[in-house]
Amino acid sequence: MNPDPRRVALRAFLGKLCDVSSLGDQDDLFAGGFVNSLYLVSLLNFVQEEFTVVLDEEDFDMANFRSIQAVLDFVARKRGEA
Amino acid sequence: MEERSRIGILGAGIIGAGLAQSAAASGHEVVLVDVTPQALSRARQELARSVPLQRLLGGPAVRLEQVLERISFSLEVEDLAEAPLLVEAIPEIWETKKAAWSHLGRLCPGESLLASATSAIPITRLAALVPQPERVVGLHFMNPVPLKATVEMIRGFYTSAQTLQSARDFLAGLGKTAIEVADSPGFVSNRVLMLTVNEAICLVAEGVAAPEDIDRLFKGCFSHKMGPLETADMIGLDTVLQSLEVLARDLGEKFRPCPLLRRMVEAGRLGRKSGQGFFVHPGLGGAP
Repeated sequence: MNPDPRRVALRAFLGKLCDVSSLGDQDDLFAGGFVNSLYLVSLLNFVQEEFTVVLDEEDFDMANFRSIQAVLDFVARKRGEA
Repeated sequence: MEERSRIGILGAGIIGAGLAQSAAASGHEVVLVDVTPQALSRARQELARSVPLQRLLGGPAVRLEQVLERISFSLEVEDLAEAPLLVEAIPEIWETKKAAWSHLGRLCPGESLLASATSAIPITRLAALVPQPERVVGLHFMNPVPLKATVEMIRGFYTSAQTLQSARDFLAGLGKTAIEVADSPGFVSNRVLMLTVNEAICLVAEGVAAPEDIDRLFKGCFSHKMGPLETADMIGLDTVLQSLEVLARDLGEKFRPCPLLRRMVEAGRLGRKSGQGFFVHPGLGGAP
């Protein structure tokens, strides 16, 4: 687990919504009850603003937001880094 | 998508736009009418945001363009005249409702079904404003409409069995189930919910418990998904205050809004939509 800046920022953001101390990067954010679906909206807003990506309609796929790692991979893909 | 009848919706706010989305996704042609271009353009923006989001959350599996091609946006109330089923979803202000319903009664032919999405105003009071009041029914949709499968259906004093059946069929076509109740200010859902929310706010004001602890009790002890104060934040504290005022007028003192609620609304702490209410909602303040 390299504490890259995006990972740190995302964990800090999620920390405002829930207790992330026991949350692993691969853990399911929704099934684990860490983030409820209401907060998915703020997660999407955060991802767009903080990482300057624009979500297209086909990006609205749970696979992109399932876990911390999934979000980071998605952002990297969107920014053409992966 | 199956071809279905035309639906008219008056009022392009959160519920009106949500219902337009739900109906269009189920194959209805929709005419969405509001009185200002701003309201219609907000509704378009709301749809662009909510169609993909709600698909993500398990709502209708449709694309934005499929929804938009079935909705016509209009500033002319007269465009509603041809719709066999019309839903009014304008603000919960009696004078506004009264004017709208008097107009709809004259505009819409005798066989069209007229529904109000009001969450608090008695249906019989609206029905009394139109000819053939037996065709008027209350359909209290919950927000977000495309994700909520249950609708509180209100039988007014005059509502006919045929009207109730048509409304039930319409809802079934949207994948929703109606729970029928008789008419009363606030019906069942808001009479109970608003009283609970108001009492929870009084407890905060009296220093009996902190907001998070009140909600934790409801979640932990009663297995509620959300406590009363998080629910209030989600509804919007201004809407909660408005609903309590309507209920207090009809049902008396026990619905008198807690002064803390009034103060928070005056201070602009409206809940999720302003980014802060009883709780802080990071990333949501000022969100479209």
